[in-house]
Amino acid sequence: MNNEKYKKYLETLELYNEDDPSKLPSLEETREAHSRLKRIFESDSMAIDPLEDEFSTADRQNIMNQLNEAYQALVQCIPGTEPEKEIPIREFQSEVDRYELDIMDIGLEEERPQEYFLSKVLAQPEEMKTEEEKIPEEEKNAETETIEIDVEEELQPTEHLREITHPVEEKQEERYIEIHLEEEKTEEAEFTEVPAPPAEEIIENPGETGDLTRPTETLSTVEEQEKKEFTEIHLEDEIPGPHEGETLSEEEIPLTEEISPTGKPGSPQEKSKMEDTLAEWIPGAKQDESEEILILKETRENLGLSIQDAAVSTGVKEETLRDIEMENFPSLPEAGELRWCIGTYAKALSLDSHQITDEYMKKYRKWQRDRE
Amino acid sequence: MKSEIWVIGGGKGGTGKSFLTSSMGMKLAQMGKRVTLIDADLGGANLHTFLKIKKPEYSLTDFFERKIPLSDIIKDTDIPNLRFITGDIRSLDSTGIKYTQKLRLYRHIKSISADYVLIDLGAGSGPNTIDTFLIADKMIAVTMPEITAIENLYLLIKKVLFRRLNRVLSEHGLRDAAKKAWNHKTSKNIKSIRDLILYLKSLSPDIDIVVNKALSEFKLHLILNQVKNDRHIETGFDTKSVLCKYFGIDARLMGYISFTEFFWKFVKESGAFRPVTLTASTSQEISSVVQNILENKQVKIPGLSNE
Repeated sequence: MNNEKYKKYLETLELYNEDDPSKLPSLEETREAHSRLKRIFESDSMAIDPLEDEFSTADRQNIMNQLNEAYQALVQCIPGTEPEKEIPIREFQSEVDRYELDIMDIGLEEERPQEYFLSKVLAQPEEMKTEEEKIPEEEKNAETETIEIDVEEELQPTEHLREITHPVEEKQEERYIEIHLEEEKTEEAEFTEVPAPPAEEIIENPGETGDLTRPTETLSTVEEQEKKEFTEIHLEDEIPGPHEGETLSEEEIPLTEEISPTGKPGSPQEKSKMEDTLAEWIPGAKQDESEEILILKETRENLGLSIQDAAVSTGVKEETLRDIEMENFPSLPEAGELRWCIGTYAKALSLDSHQITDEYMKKYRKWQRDRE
Repeated sequence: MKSEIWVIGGGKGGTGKSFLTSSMGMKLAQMGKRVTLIDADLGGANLHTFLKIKKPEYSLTDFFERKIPLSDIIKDTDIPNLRFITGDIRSLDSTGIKYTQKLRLYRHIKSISADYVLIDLGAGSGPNTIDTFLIADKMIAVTMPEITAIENLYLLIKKVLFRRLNRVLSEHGLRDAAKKAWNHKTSKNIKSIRDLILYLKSLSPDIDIVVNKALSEFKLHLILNQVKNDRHIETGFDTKSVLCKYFGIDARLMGYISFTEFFWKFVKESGAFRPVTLTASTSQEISSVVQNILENKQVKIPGLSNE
């Protein structure tokens, strides 16, 4: 891509570094910038509200298209990432999907990035491995070869998902899910630590990646530490997760939120598989799309909180919270205030406040339009 | 040496323009820069309140009515390096200033001997405000996370941008091209400044270049005041992005100032030149805003790793 165009894309996503134009944003930065801007223009940020009358939908879409174009182009340029068709497609679809997503998807929102990362990271070693493995191949011996095969296996994450989707036995399944989440956390942690790693850097500091996995080492019974550097994903998977035997409760889902607070896209196939899987395990998780779900109410009740508790912790009036929960649109406060209330409430319930507010406001706007 | 002119506007009243003008002026003076503050709020000058000085004997009224040179009405303050012109217009309807008088004022402002001239604009977006905004070397807008403040900011930017575009196109031999297009807005289906920009750009590749250049050179330094929480900060970044994307200008968020309860109590009770030292954190925030403006750096979005 020529420099001018590249600069333009960076500027579109507000990522252009004036001090050092050669400095490239990481994949994560690019994604965050994109989703931040998308949020502003697709929903009703306070910053866009005053322009509502004069900002046509088509024009808004124009800006959205520019953002998406820049994002797509940049993602493909960032070193260490392979162009992946699924991701942008998911991006485009998300607008439609989001609205209809069921309750579990909100929980899964946190999973998506990890899956995404997983597929990214797993895809990445393919090329890196060739260099990376050279060293151990020479220095070590046949031992590494078996490991290599393991890593290879891991390269198809869908294998696991398939397994989960067709469970043999209860306990085993739970374990798989646990492990899957666990393993993704590691990936996420690794990635945030080393943003957009140019291939060479990773090779230079293999110890760094090893360090990050160390906390989980205590849980595992791995004999050879060295292997970890190359097989962390695999080993993590083989050894039973720390919560073995426990059921995957709904509380587990907000837990991952702490690790990755940002919503990121994942490949649609993987996601839907994950959804199906969890749907089987969490009663009422996957519901008919046509069925309206009062997610705030349900989440609150599942957490065992009363509306009074919620009012105290959010500072929003009980009646307002109740109206919000029941989607009692005519009684709701005006849009700006409403947005704030929902955001605060969703946050208090450890939900993704951006997503909840966006979806809620979409419904609210729709109701407003219908009324008119 | 030519002074650098910072014009501080923002549309809505009460967003903190005078407070920030005085505070930033003091910061610059403390850094050893020679600073002149001008209260150009011709209707309701109150900068002196923040500076804790009596209204100076002479004001811009004398400049306009009695033709006293601007250099004669600049008043020293107790702070070294900091001087001050009040804009109080007693008898003159502020909108009644003739265009030639305005040009004379701008000429005098540009010849003030100082490193920095900070002009505090009044609220609103009248023609005087807009013209004064356009003489800036650095256009600074103060807003706060409130829908009305943001709305007024956009209104101001729309008008300033319109005027700038019209001027730039005129310089390129397209006299009043923007105005003419706007006058025929219904037939050309132009509903907003954005439509107008898109329309002008579509006229010819040459105009497209001129307009693009004008937009990219339109640098707006945004300061978000009275921030109470993270969500407010987010609104600041959102506003900046909307300014960039919707208007196409080069807007930058230079910083935000946290809300201080009892602000006016502080102003009232503090001794001369105290407002800026309200609290250490406010003072710190203002310092970093000033630093960012001087270095032309903007605040990074929290969460996005920088270095």
